[in-house]
Amino acid sequence: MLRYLIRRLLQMIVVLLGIALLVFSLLHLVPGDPAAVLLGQQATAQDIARLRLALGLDRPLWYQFVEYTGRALRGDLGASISLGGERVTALVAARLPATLELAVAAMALAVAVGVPVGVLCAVRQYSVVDLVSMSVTQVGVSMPVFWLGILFILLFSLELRWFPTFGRGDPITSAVAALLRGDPGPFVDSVRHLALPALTLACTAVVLIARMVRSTMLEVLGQDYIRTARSKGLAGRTVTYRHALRNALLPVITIMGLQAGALLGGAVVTETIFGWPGLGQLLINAIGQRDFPVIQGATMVIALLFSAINLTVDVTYAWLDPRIRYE
Amino acid sequence: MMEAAQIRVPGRWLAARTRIGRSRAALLGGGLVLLIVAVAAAAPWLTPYDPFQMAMGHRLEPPSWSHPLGTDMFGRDLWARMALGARFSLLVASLGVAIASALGVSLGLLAGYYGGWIDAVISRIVDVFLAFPVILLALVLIAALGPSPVNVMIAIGLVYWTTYARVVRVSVMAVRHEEYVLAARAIGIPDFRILVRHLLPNVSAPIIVIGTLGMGSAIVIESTLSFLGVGVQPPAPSWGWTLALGLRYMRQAPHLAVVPGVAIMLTVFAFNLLGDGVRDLADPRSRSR
Repeated sequence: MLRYLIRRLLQMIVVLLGIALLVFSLLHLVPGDPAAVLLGQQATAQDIARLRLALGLDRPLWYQFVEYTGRALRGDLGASISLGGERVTALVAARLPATLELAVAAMALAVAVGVPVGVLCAVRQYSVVDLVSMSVTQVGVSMPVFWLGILFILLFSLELRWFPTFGRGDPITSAVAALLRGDPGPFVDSVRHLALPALTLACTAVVLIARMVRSTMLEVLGQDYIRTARSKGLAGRTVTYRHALRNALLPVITIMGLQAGALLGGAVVTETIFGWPGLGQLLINAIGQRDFPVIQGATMVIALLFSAINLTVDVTYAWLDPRIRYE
Repeated sequence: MMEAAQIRVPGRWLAARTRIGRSRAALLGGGLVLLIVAVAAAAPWLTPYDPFQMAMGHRLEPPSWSHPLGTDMFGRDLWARMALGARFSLLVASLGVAIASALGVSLGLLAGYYGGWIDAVISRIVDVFLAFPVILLALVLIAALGPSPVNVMIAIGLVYWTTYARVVRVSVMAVRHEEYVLAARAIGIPDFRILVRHLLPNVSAPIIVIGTLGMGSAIVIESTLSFLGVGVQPPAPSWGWTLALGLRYMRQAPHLAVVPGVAIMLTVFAFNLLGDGVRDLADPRSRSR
């Protein structure tokens, strides 16, 4: 286990360096002089020269990369160009909790809906429930996140008027704190704001989890030890939940890890639709303003998060299933 | 033996039922894809309206006999714009998929055939690309390259090449020690020829499957980028951007958001169905899933 862990950590370091290199090259992929691009049409040659110096663009590329990585390691991602020189690290740190709140809520929702649906479909294979659910998931896979979001707004906000279309309430942590103090107002408000974006973001994951649980459950239910459990007279529910589901849940962890990345990416889109003040909105605005330090910083943080989640998933998986370590 | 045969009978029936069901789905998907391609190809002849002609007197009209899908905020006929939009989407997506497969297949072939440090380097590059959520990678690439149809294709290519590379690498590894490869090498056939003439045909089935399913994903990426305003730029009638505009007029004219959404969904759905069907044909084992 330790050797596996060390190998994975070493691999991750290489990948992280690669991420830094890719993100760093973004600015240099821009056709033309980055400084001129950043300053726009009206810039004078003097302005451009000054910015080149300020950004260190006069140095050799490898030097710039080493410097960028070194500063990033110390938590300094540079200064924003469009937002009055504010530190990118501070900007990202301010927006990150909102994105995490959204992603965690979506993941919880996805597991809470996806696993029971998958189990039900497997236990009653080819029943009406199974056919309907699987048809719905087939359509669900084809739904782009932004289109789902708009449909939900049309139905739940404009028609039924259950949820607001836009914005975020208090952070869920402080809302819960208020609830514990006996004031349910902020909590209700937070949840009402969170509901639609989380539902939108959760849908793809629900579909994938339900399909995965269904197929692994079917596989497990066909195993000999399930027949043994049944033939020794255990109740159907006990066999389904204690014997089958436990083993069928293992691949779901992988799906959850992969979906974590999709959720972080999907959050970028969802936040734009619902005006959710997270990393995604910061990123989209930065792209509009061509604010490269912010684009680089936000991208770097999301990629780091995703890699960390994947590493955790792989290690958890190896810990749960010893066969994996010896591959 | 008797017993085994008896047990297998219902299994066969079920398998047959699923297979027919699946191939029906594939037929439906294939039919839909053909229909959408036909609409895209025949776009200018399907309607009397010019997709760029504004008519401010007819802004945001709901669907009617004269405008079957209604009009947008400039009074342009939505059906004309959607049909032309199909061209943009299909063209950008298919060229994007072509870039992805060309890049991914070549690197996958090299990694799988040579192994060693070549494999190690290519695999680490794949890992780095996989560390970014798909949409995020596409977005930042477009941010750097600038918004244009060609750059959207490049972004799609750079986002999805890893899938091809990984699959081809593993497939090539599985066959590179087969006798026909060793024989080809022994009689002095150059590596390039072995890769293209002997290995490529043997790994082509998964490439076709990934390509078909990839069309759906590529259309989602294209429309998402357009929706966020960084993809195909107006006045080009892209589905994603029309949908983004629809979001602004959702209270007065919900059809402006619904129509392009349905177009995107149907197209992606069609390619996914077709892709699932093709996968079942290529790999009978996946049928039971």
